[in-house]
Amino acid sequence: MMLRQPAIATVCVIAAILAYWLSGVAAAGRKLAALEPLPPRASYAVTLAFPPEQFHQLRLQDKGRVVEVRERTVYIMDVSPSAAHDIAHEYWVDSVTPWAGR
Amino acid sequence: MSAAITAAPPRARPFGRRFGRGLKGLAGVLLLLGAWQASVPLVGMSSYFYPSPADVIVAFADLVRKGILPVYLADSMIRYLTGLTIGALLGVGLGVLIGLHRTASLALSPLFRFLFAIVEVAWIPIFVVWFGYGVKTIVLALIYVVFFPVLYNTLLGVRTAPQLLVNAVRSLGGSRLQVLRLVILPSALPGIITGLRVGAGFAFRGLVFAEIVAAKTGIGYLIFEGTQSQQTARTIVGMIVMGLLWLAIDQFYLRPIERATIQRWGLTVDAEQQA
Amino acid sequence: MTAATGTQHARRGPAPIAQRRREALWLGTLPFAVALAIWWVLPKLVDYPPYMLPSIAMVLDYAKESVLDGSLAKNIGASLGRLLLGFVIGMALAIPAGLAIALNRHVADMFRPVLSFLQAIAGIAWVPLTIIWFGVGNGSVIFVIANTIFFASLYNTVIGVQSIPLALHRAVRSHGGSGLSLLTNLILPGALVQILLGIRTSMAYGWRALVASEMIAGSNGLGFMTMEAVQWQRTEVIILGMIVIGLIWVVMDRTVFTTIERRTVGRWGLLQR
Repeated sequence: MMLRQPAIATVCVIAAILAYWLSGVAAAGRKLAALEPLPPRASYAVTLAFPPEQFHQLRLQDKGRVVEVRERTVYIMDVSPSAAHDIAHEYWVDSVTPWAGR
Repeated sequence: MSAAITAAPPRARPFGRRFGRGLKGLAGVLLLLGAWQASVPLVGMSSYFYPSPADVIVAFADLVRKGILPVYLADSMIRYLTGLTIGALLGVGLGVLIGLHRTASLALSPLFRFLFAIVEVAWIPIFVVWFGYGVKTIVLALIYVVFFPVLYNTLLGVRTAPQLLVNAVRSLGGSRLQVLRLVILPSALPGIITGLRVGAGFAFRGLVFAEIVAAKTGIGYLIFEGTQSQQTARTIVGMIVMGLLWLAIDQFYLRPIERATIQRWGLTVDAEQQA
Repeated sequence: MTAATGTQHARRGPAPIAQRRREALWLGTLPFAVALAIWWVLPKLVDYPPYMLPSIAMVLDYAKESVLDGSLAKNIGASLGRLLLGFVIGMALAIPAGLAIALNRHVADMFRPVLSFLQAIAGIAWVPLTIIWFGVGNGSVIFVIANTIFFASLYNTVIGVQSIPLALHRAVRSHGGSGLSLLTNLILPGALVQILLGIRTSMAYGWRALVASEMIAGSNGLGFMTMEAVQWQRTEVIILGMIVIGLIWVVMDRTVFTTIERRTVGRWGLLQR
């Protein structure tokens, strides 16, 4: 069938997206394991592997209230459990630790 | 060898020769990269002004490691596919509807021709005034870009459907819907595919332009922002990704689809027949 | 009787050409008239701020003003001038390059991947880079236009050379022609038709590149004028800009390209691909 190439390409792309998403879910579970169960509103210290750029701050601002950025860590408050999972999902997030807040 | 023969295009190429051409192509690429790398000390300016291939590779790794490139790529592709799909559906739908009515096509053709003469890039300012900066404006611009080529070519295809076949189906008791399905759509298909190909190309360039003007994420934004934030190597990464992306779209989607429809059915549309 | 006239569609054949043309003309202007009528009536029916859709009067006022003080002419002139310069540079580079690729198999094989890739990013993607290199203004815009036209015309030049019938090659060769005379007597004229026909497509891309790059990296011109008005919320300038951009393309298309097609295809017949 002549339409083989588009079909194969589409399957590959979808497979790649699925793999990326599934690995993110697994990683999220791993990073948050120590913190379960997650409270409805919590504060976290999100540590990246590098100093966060504008891009990362913008994305984290969607998930809660970004209070401070110090070196490689972003301090964020009012994070719901689903938002916490979203944050931990990202592969550029090294760790998510509870924070006392302010 | 037998596989090569059964799958061969009209001129079967011996494997050795194809390999040779591939090697030469690779040599060309390496030559360009080498010249680029060598020219960096000659130009003698900071990487802000003239990044080297090494800078670009580092920037690429950086962008991937920080999760920026995948997100920008996904955002751009979502916008592109959305605009392409909606524009194509509108173009085909309206093209068929209008094409079936001679009066409507006579009345609307000049209007569409003038609107299309106002190139899609010229609509971006007014879209920004109406819809602000952001995804809405970008997708709308893409829909506009795809709509017109698809509409034109669909119209052409519908109006040049062989009247003989239409009459034949009618005389056999076929309903209008059957005429549409059995004669008009198949005859219009090559035109539609051509329109899609043109639209996809315009839309890809339009996407980058629209993102430069009105986006906060995406490959176009990456290209723009690299120069704004003194990270010109990122701009070049964006350009390279853009090029590879288009080559992939063309190679894996546009060309196979075109070959499967137009070449298989060998249908051509003669523009001179347009009433 | 009713049965005969009601159900039978007597085929009378198409109406005479003059009548069809008049009908087409009248029908064709109808949507424009309707659009203008809606535009005129809308402010009286719906309440919205003028920066969303200025009245026809505002646009006409601005049109008169910009024509009288020469600013519109200056912008049009600047844009067209840049388009011409970029076009000339792009073609001047594309034709020799196209000849080299079409005539030498090794050159073709070496550079095809590179050039395909560069063609994919031709045009607007270069604007941010050109802003860094040439700053905002003529240099950037002309570079982008030349870049766009170069790649668009390159392809056509190659096709043009490749479509010269082999028999002609052999004929010229058998008369002792080779090298430079082959080039001037056979290759260039033979490819010329395809190159000229391709100008229409190149210009379509080039025109877009002009407007787009002026919007981002220009300091004057139609694109710049249209985009700048967004900042000042002077939407009547935007609308005038859009109409002028559309009109100029229609005029260019009708006059320049149709003439080229008539002179070439009309005189020399259709090409075989």
